[in-house]
Amino acid sequence: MNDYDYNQLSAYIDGELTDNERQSLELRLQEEPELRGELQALRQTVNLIQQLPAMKAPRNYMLTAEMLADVPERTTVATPRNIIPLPFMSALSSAAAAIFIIAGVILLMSGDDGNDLATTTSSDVMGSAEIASQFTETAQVAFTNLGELSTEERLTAAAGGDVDAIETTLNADVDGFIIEETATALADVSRAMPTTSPNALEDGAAVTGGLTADSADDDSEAGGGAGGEDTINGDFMPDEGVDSAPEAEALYMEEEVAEESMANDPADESDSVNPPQTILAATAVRTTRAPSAPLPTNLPPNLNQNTTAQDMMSESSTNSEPAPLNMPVPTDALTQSAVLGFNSADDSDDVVASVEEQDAGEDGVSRESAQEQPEAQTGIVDTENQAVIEAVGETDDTQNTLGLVLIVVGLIAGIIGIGSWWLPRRQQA
Amino acid sequence: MAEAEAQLIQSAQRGDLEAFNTLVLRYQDIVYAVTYRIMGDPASADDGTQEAFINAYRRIETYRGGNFKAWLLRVATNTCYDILRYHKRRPATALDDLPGGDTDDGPPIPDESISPEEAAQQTELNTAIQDCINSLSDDQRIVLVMSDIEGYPYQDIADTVGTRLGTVKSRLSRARAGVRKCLEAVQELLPAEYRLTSSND
Repeated sequence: MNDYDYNQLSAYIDGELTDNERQSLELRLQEEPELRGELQALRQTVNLIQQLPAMKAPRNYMLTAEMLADVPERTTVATPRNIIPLPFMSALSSAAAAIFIIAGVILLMSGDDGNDLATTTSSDVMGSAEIASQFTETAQVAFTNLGELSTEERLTAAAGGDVDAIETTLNADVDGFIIEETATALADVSRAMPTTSPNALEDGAAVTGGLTADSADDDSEAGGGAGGEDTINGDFMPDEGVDSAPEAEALYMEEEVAEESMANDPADESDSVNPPQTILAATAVRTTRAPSAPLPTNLPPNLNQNTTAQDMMSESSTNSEPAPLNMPVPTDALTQSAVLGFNSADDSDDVVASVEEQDAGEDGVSRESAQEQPEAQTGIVDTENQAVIEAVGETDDTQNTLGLVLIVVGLIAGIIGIGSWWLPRRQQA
Repeated sequence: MAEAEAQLIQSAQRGDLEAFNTLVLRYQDIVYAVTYRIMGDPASADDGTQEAFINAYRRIETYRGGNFKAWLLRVATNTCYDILRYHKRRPATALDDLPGGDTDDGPPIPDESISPEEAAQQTELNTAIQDCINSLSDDQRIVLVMSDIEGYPYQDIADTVGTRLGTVKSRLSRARAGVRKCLEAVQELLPAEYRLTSSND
């Protein structure tokens, strides 16, 4: 005996079998005593149940108006009146879920970009290099806010014998948008201050941007090949420096010779020379121009046009302590963030490194003169830089939190929508 | 009859409470019997019956024709389900609340001509059967009551509880098997003529 047999016997008692089923079961009943015994016991049980007395209502259940008003509607009998609002709620909840989740994802994605930059700034920068990183951070966020998404990181170092600062303003036409890109990171290296450790120079030259760059080797990469390109692929951490001023000076003399050779044969990038002994500024530039975009052509004579930012950063590591530098106080936050806390020590009158606008129509780059600035203002700017960075970080955190909240709300709305769709069907069942 | 009922239903759908009360008087015994077998005690059956009629009046606009009794019993069945879920308990049966008990609101004894001794035996048997029915699951109990007590065909039961014919068949078979097993366990307490015959006998 199995469930099928019990079902057949029960339906046989009620006359609910088809003719074929009934005939088949009757044949089995003739042949199987056990099946007959089960049928007899089942019939007896049904008879006992059916002999229960018929019941009469103990009272009348007629309704009154007061009764209808007083009794709360507790039951949830599945009727169309109950079902009608639920599909509407399901559709509404589903639409709300989609909107919230999409908005949350967008916020998270935009927040992640800024957050990565903020993380980079806080984790990669040490000592004086923190200022340069903060600049890069701010510049990237600013460009991101401008909607410019595909720029690449550049480092432009301006160097010159007596020049302490260069501020470069780039006007690049990117996808129809004129984006003014101003980036200045300054690292003034003076041969006259030989006591500065190479690590300090590395810190001063370090520029972060979420990218990684090969260390610029003074002798091998600085002068040519791929290492000579001005495309910055990452952090600049010159791995070696010159321990003393005499060594740096000797190296500079060698490089000057090489630079002269390069000037005679500009096409040979492998022979490009390193920057001069005094690196005044390291300027991080974001631009959409080609990776190999050259530096301004009117750079000081000891800075070859083909000299790359990486080269210059490498060179900076070979020199000693950065000299103070005065820079003008930019008027906008982006430019302000680009001003580093280096002050001009003794050559403030010679500091101005002016880069005239040149070849703007050709390469989309405009150059502005960098004005010297009072020493006292740089500290203020540094503080402002930090404030900008912190503000950007807080904004990113708020965006991420808001994005997560929206996604959670969207998921809840989705659950409500599914429940609104499923509950009426369950009630009907 | 059917035309008169249809007119009553239409009047009730327009808000005629008197017309609906006419329908109540016509079906209240059936509704009470179903609710009593499902709920298991007179008090719960009384509450369930009253609430079933209130729900039926509030939703009578949803009646789209067909068997009105089946529609009404479906409302009553769902009302009982809701009450059982609301109290989150299986209704407990007290002796005073059993059919034929001392309570005033208990169902009347159908045959008043029997002797007190026979009435006592009948009451004992009915109590045992009702206890066994109460031991079933809600789904099995509903199907068993509608089939073996109210005498509905399988299709009407399926329409009432909103399930398939095969499901009704299966639930009823299991319900009967469960009652049989339950009565075999207590058959020593039953009168000799009501004891079940074992399938092995």
